[in-house]
Amino acid sequence: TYEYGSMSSMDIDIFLNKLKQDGFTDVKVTQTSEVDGVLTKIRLVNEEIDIDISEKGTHIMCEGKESWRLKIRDSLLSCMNKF
Amino acid sequence: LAMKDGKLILMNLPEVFKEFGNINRHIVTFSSLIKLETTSPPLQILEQIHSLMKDKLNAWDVKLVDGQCIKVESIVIKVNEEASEKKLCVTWENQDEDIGRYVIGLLQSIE
Repeated sequence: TYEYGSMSSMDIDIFLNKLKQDGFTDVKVTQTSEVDGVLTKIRLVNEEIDIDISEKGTHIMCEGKESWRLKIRDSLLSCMNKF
Repeated sequence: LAMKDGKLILMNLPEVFKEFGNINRHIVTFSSLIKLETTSPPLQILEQIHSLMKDKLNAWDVKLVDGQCIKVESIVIKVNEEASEKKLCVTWENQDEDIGRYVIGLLQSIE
């Protein structure tokens, strides 16, 4: 699939809820203003996974179980515009 | 397939985003780290992986670039070295998920 558009704050809230439903309970979120828009940084503390969401893209950095990455991927893609 | 002037036409992805300027691509990227138990230098590790991937992915163009990383489609493999610990860092874009997942499985099997 190819994703387009940007993740709104509502989309990010839905994504965060899905992460909690998937069992990622210790989730830390920080937001900063960058030159090209808001950068949302999500840290899944117990799993040591970082997710950066900006206007242009989302980067999931995962060291560990592949099953965690796949859960996060499914939840993220369900919140995005795609074709 | 895209609809333009009432007709269905076949376009590649960069053309679609150029043609329909109101659509911005949102690139989803993954990075996975795989720990390595080896004392070999980074270049030797990359050469071994390059050889393995060329064999396993013979329908794809697998490149060893400047002795620094391996590239195939959007997948980039590098060796990260911190203190005495070495890790493979594998990055890929979501449209290459199938091959990215295959490469992760392949690299985990040789660690």
